[in-house]
Formats: sequence, C-alpha cells, structure tokens
Amino acid sequence: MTREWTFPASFAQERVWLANQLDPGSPVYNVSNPWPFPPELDADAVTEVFNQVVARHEALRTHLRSDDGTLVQVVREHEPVRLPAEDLSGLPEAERLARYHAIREELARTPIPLDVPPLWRARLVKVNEAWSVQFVVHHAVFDAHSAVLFTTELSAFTTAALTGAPAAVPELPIQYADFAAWQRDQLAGPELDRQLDFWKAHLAGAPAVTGLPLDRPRPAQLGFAGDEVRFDLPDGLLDAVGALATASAATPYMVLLTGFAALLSRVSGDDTVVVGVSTAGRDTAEVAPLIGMFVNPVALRCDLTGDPTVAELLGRVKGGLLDAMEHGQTPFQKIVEAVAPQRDPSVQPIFQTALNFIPDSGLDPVPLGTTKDDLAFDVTAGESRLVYRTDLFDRATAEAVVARYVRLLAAAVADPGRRVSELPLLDDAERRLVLDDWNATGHARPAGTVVDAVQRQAAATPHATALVGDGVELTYAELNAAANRLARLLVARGAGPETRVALALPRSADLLVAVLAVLKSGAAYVPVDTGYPAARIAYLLDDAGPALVLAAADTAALVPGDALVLDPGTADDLDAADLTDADRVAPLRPGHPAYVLYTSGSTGRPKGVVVEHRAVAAYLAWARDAYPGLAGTALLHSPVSFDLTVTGLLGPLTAGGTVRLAAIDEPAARAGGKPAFLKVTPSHLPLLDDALSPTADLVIGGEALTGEQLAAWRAAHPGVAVTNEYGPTEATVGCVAARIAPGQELAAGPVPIGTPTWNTRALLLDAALHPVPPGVAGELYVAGDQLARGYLRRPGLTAERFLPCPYGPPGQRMYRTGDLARWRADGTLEYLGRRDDQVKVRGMRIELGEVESALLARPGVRAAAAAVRADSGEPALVGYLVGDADPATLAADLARELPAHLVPTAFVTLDALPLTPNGKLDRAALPAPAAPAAVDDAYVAPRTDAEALVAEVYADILGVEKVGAADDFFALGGNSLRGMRAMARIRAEVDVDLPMRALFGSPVVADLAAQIEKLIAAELDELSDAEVAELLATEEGPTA
Amino acid sequence: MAETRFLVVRNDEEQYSIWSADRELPAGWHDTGFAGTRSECLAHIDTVWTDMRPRSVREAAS
Repeated sequence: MTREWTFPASFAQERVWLANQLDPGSPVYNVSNPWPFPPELDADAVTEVFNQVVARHEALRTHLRSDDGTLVQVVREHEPVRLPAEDLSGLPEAERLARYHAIREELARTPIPLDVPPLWRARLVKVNEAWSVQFVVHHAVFDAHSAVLFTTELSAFTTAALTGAPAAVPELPIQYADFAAWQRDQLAGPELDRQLDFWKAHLAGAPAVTGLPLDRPRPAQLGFAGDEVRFDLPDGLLDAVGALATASAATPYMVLLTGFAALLSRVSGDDTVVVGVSTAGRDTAEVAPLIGMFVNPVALRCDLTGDPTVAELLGRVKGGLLDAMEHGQTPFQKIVEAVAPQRDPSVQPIFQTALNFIPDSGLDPVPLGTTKDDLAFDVTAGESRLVYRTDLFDRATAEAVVARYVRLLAAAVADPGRRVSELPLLDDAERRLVLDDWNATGHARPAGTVVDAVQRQAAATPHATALVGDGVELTYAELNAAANRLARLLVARGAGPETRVALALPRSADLLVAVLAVLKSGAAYVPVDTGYPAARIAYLLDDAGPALVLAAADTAALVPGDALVLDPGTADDLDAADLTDADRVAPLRPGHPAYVLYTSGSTGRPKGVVVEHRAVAAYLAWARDAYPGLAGTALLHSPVSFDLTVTGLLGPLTAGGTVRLAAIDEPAARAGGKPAFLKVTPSHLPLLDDALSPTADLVIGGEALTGEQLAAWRAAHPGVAVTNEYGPTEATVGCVAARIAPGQELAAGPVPIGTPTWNTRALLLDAALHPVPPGVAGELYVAGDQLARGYLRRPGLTAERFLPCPYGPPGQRMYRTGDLARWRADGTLEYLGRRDDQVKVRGMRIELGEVESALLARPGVRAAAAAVRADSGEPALVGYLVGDADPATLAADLARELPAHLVPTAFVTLDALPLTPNGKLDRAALPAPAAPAAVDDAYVAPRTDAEALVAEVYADILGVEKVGAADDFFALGGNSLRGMRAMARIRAEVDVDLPMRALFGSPVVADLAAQIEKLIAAELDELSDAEVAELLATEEGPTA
Repeated sequence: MAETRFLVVRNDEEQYSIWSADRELPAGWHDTGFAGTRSECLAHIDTVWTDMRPRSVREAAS
C-alpha cells in the first residue's frame, strides 16, 4: 500500500481546481513539456533519470481531492514507475513522424482528472537513434518556471548517468506542501484585508467586461473552446521594444503591454482597459528550485484617459504594473470575491484579455483547442501566438487582431511621442476598403429641384392617378394644376426662396396640394403636426418664423389669426400653369431649402433641420431606382412632419405612382387593393395585416430592426423585397440602406443597414476622427449630396454637428450622426445604437437590441422592448412584452440563452407597446415595473424534495436561517469555495455527478434542484429496462 | 488636464465649423483666426455666421 499524506491545497491549486470544474472534460490546463535524451541512454536509463526527478519533487507525486468540500493536496510516497516506451525507429520515415505526432497530440489533448494520481502522463518515444520523454502535466502542479526546472534537472541527471558523477541539483529545503501551508498562514486576517483593499481601489470603476467587438454574442455559459493564431514578430521589433524599455527604465514586457493596452483601447473605445498579467509567485529563495504551481494572475488596470502619448502610457503601465506586482501574491479568487461577487458565467471575472512574455521558452508544441481568456497573447523571441475564444471570435478576426497589434506596436516603439489615438490601426488596403471601395457610390442623376421632378412626371403622365383618399381622387394634371394655383396665391402672400410656409393641415388632399404649392412657390414647407400640444405648436411657429401659415377650417384655431385658411376654391381663379422663375419673387435653385423638419434631440429644444431641394432630389432619384413599388400605389399613413414620410409622399409623385392617404388603422388604407409600396417603422410591423402588406416594397426605417421582428411578415409575404433604411433627418430621409431580396436568408439579430445611397459616403470614425477597421464600432458620419444645410438659425449647433470632412473633396462637410455602427466583412453597415444611449448595469454594457431579439424569439411574445430603469435607485434591466408568455418561464428561458446581465430582472406585460405619433417606440411611456416584493414576501418555501435538499445545504453552508426556492446562492453570500462545499454535500446526499458549473449556471435553489432532478432522470434513462425492473423490484420488494 | 483647443474654420461656401487645433485641417477649410474651447468657438460662430445660406446660393440670388 502506497503511503500518502494530506495537506491543505495552495490558493493557486484551489483556483485551478475550481476553474477546471467548469469543464472537467477539457484539456485546457494541460502543459506539454517534451525532452530529448542523448542516444547513449537506453529506455531503462532514461526511465531512471525521469524517476529521480519525480522522487525529488512532491508536486509530481501530488493529486487533489475534495474532502467534504475542502480541497486538499494528497502527496504520495515515491514509487518508481515504468514509462511506456515505443520505438518508432524501425518504421518508414513518413509513418514514424505521423505516429510521433499522434502520440504527442493524444497525450496533450487527453484531460487529466485532478483526483487521480499522478497528475501527469509520460511516454518514451524513440524516433531516430535516441529516446525522448513526452511529458504532459496538469497546471495544478506545474507552471512555466517548473518547466525550466524540470528540463534542467532531467539534463543534470542525464549528465550524472553518463559520467557517473553525482547530479548537480540543488538541495530542496522545503517541499510544495510546506509552501502551501505557509501561504495559508500568511494570507489571512488583516494582511489579506490590506491586500484586498488595494485591489478594490485598483479596480474601482474599471469596466467589468471588455468592450471589444465580438463576432458573436456571449453564450450564457463560457467554455474553454479556443484556437490560436501563431505568428512571428517582424525582425528587429523585439530589439526596438527592448531599446525603448531600456531608454524608459522599463522592461520589454511593459512596452509590449503598453502596445496591447493601446490596441484594446483603440478597438473597444474604452479608455480604461484591464489586462491579465501573470506573476511568478516565487518571491522567496526557498521556493525557487521547486516544481509546483506558484503562478498567480493579477489584473492590471491601464488608464488611457486624455489620449496619452505612447511614452506617457508606458509610464502609467509601468507604475500600475509595479503596484500590481507588489500585491501579486493576493490569491486571485479572493480578489474576484471581493471585487466581482456577482457571478456571470458568460464572462470571465475581472479580466478577459491577457498578455504573457515568455522570451526564452517556446510555445506548447501542440495547440490544445482551448483557451482561458477571450484573447491572450503569448509573445516569445521565436514563434508567438494569440489564443482566442472561438465562442466569441472568428479566425479572421483573431488574425486581424494580430496584424493590428504588430502594426501598432511597431509604430509605438518607432515614435513614442505619438499619441495613442494617432497610432495606425488599419493598413493601406483596409483604409482604401472602408474609405473608398465601400463608398464607391458615384452615380449620375438628373440635376434640378424637386419641383422639376414632379412637373416632369405630371407632364409625362397627366391622366394617371396621383392621389386617392380623403374622398377625392386626383390625376397628375389635376393635382399639378391645383398646386400651381395655390402656389401663385402663396407667392402673392410673400412666399419665395429662403422663406418658410408652415402647414397646419390634417392628412388630406389639401395637405398634398399645399406641400407641392409651397415647393413651387420656392419656399420651404414646415409641417406642423396638428395633434401636438398648443405650446409646442406655438414654439415651432415662433422658431420657424414662417412667412405664412396655412390652416384648414378645423385647425385654424391652433395657429395665429393671420393664417391663410384653405377653403374649397381658395385659389380657383388663378392660373393653373406651372410657375416659372418669372412668377416667383426670386429664382428657385437646387440650393434653396425645400422643407424644414423639426426633430427632438435627446437634450434641448426641438430644432429645425433645413433640407435643400438638391438633397431631396438626390434622395428621390436614388429611391425611385431602389423602390420599383413607388411607381404603383404607396400608402401615406405617417405624419408629414416625420422625414420617413417623404419617401411615400414625394416618391410616387416623381415616379408616376399614386399616393393613397389613410391612417394605418382606417378602412381607407385597405380600399382599392394592396399597396405596392409601404414604409413603416419596426414598431408598425405587428400591425401589418395582409390587406395592408405591400406587393413590391416594404421599407422599414426610423428604428433599429432585427431579423426576429421581420421573420413572421417575410414568411407570410415571400415575394416582397424588404429594405432597411437608415437615415437621420440631417442626411435626408435615408442615406444608408439594405435591400433584402425576396427569399434571401436573413439571420436573427440586428439587420444590417446596408450601404450608402447614391453619391453618399458613410464614414465610421473613432474619437480622433480616424477610420475604424471592419468589425470595430465607430461613430457614423455621413457626407455627400444628401446633407442638410444645417439647423435653422442655429449656427453654433450646425457647426458642431456638420464638421470638415477629412476624407472627401476639399471643403466638404460631414454630418456627425451620434450613432454607432460597424462594417461587416461584406461591406455592409450594422447599426449598434445611439452613442449616448450606451447603458450599463453593474458595469456591464447592455445591448437592448440583443435583449429585445431574444424576447421576440420566444413563443407567446408578439412584441417586445427592453429598457434600463432606475425606478428603485439601482439601474435594472426591465423586459416589456406583448403576448401571453409567462414572465417567470420567459426569465428561465432567457437565462439559458443570454449572459446573466442581459436577462431582465423584471417583466411588464402590456396590451401594446406605446408608440410616438411617428410610430416609433415611445420609451418614455414605458411603465415602471411593479416594485419588487419585500424580502419576506419573496420567500417561497421549497416545493420538492430536491428544492428542500438544496435549500438546506445552502442554509447550512452559508449560515443563513431561512432559504427559499427563489434564493440565489451568490446573492446569499456564497463564493466559489463555499460553492465547492455545497456541491460536495449535495453529491454526497443524492449520489449524482453534479458538476461545479451547474452551480454557476443555476445558483437559484429551484433551478439547481431542477438540474439535480434532470440528472437523476438521465441516470435512470441510461439503465436498461431489466436494470430498472431490478431496481424497482429491490425497492418495492417482491409483490407476488 | 487641459481642455482641447478648437479653431473656428470656414470653407469656400462660407460655412463654419470647428476643428481640433492639434489636428491637420482638411483641404478646402480655412482658419478664421478664432481659437478657444469648444463652447467658446461655438458661441463665436453663433455671432459671426449670420447668413447661413451657402455662398453659391447667396451669390446666385443677388
């Protein structure tokens, strides 16, 4: 019987053990360390050398065991082992190598269970004339420095075997278990508190999750699946890194970190980044010669605020790293418990990126297909690598990260006086791609005004129907004539180029006539929504300073007394011919304003956007080409004060189509057959019944759109093209659009907004106005023909939002949209939300769109919204839904799909989502959720045996008196260690193989109980019928 | 940390804007000589940009 001794595990062993429990079947903690022996030694001699090293180091005779929830290390006495040996030297060359690689890979990729000694695998292989040992060991007992010691000792014992002299190996004054006991003693009480205080201060306010752009949303639970990109740093770069380090009294590692922090900040847009840094953990001389696991990760917070130069950042990194190293012995799991007690199994706590500099040791020979971090660089003097999480990133993205790191690092060390924002992120080809190739939108179009376009159409199709609705039907000739007559009256009342005419008219034929008449007079129309409160109407009329206000009999009371009230026959006696410049007070040019639309910013009072004929004509020319349905019937249902409406109003009138006037809920909207063209907001989609659904083009604008929102409608209308149109009023209706052809596959999640319209350029820029690479979030700037003139009588505001464009013809302006977007690899744009709407809950960035998509994908949810509210003080995520889904079920379903921070903590069921008059979701009108029930009321007594068991174990281990079915382990004060104990207790009670990750994924009593029941059921399923019968027979006893 | 300094700039259409003083000014834009914080520059523009018509529109009308 082999003797064994039990000692407390070290903190590092505990950390590795816990992490390993999240996926015990993964080889993520395997470390490969092959070593070649000289040909003079035969297999027996080699085995003897190997055994001598194992004999010296208790760590190589150690395994871990959980004793009633306390992790211990078990050290066994030394017993020489025989290593399996395989002589390949007789095989043909090709076979030999193939077999050799197969052995290495099999060893490297086979998980090593932590509770079965030994925690390593070794095999002797002879490829040519000499033996080598293929050694793979678990990280719980081995680290990078151990690898150096291991090979040094193999070498020393080999020399001894060859010469007969004693091996030149140092005395080992203590063993690993001694260190573990000493460490437990040191890092306790006030000293531990002092260290944790440092870390709490160091990490206060740092982002909980990196803002790196991901190729895919985070899964609800992270695994270790990973891959790696191997690369060589360009010749001389490490020398340059070293030279800058020397000149700055820093280390090369600090310079490499500076480059990495700069990259992370530039790509994520975060000005604080947190990077994982490994400390050797061998601070005393006694442990220097010991094989064992000493490494402790620490989190380095890098401050990039104020756009530092590379040299300044290096100084900050150096200071931060020295501070962090000074506290490098604080067990990382203690830091996690102190800083991030809220568990979110979708995110690695504290840091998600890491950088290691291992100049002299090579990389693991076998890529394991695993990773611990989202992104981690291992830089060496030879081959380097980037390890990445395949759940989150594609290989192409990882390759781009490597290329960017190398480019940025080279530029940084070449000129440390450069600001981080000025370091090159894109190469020339990428720059051309995003600035030119994806903006190659040049297109010839007819010059002229909107008036020219409408009159050209009226002359071409005088007898075609231009307008239906409001009890009338007008041909193009009739509509044009009516507009001409009214225009002459407006001119007589002072309307002309550079003046404005306000339209306080309900949706009616008169409104359409008036719009055209104002345009023909040369003035700009200013729609006044007659449904608005009187104060807002008064503000708008005061701000717009119209030369004239037009009203109808029933709206006259809303506007000043000198308004022109349109009666039947108002201008009947005037000439019906098209106006010429001679008929106007001044000539009309494409540079004159066509309309002024008021938009509400997130702050401040509504402002009038002045849009010129040039811009409207440019948009309409593009729209006529993009939307064949404009030559048919278009339903005009939205207010004319909303710029989305321009497409369905002026589009058909310049394409030979018919405008049908009706609200979406009026029977008139459905009279006369389906429309060919319809433009709506995504919030309208659930309202589109079959009679209202267009036959040619459905255009969606005004709000972000997801595939889930569209799925049902597209399935019911497979022959219709859908276009997702993006555009602020300042860039005229739509300046970026994505056409989804009939039958085209559309993925769930955000629908791309597509590509810029004719003669428009879309620029995605960072804070320093540099273009961002594909995949990276940038702020969207728009330049080109569709830009508005600016804000009416607001020069300062105009100057702030319409900026000099560094990437276009001289003197051009670009409009800063305030929207975030990113380029997809196919050159289409994806909308990411408002810049100022970036909401965070507990430090985690919340993508409301992602939450809404997930809600909509659930059965029983017809419409959904998500919002972050602070009704009870702390910001919380609230889900709103229309439908009969049960909120509790919904929450449980979402928790399986989404990261914990994206699962709403409260739900509100509504009859319908509140909409603004323009048909957009009215976020301000979303109600507050019911106040959460007081703690006592929230107590749900355990309902099943499994719940009772889990609740009892929680209560015991956490020292809590009353634990209910709805209580969360971590919310009650649990941590990983206590979790370990809880799981051990449960496993002992019910005898199921309950993995540690079950607790992280389902910390609530009821959920964990459900998992346990599922596991028991699964185990029953695995039994054969005979076994079940036997089991039942035993339990029930003989009945016959 | 000092607040970023901006310039008041103008193009040939006599449209005004602002530009960070330590960045290269794009072609076709000219420094008007006024510099200050962002809000100082915008306030200045509010007083000097009294006719927001582009120069080409203004000249065609006269």
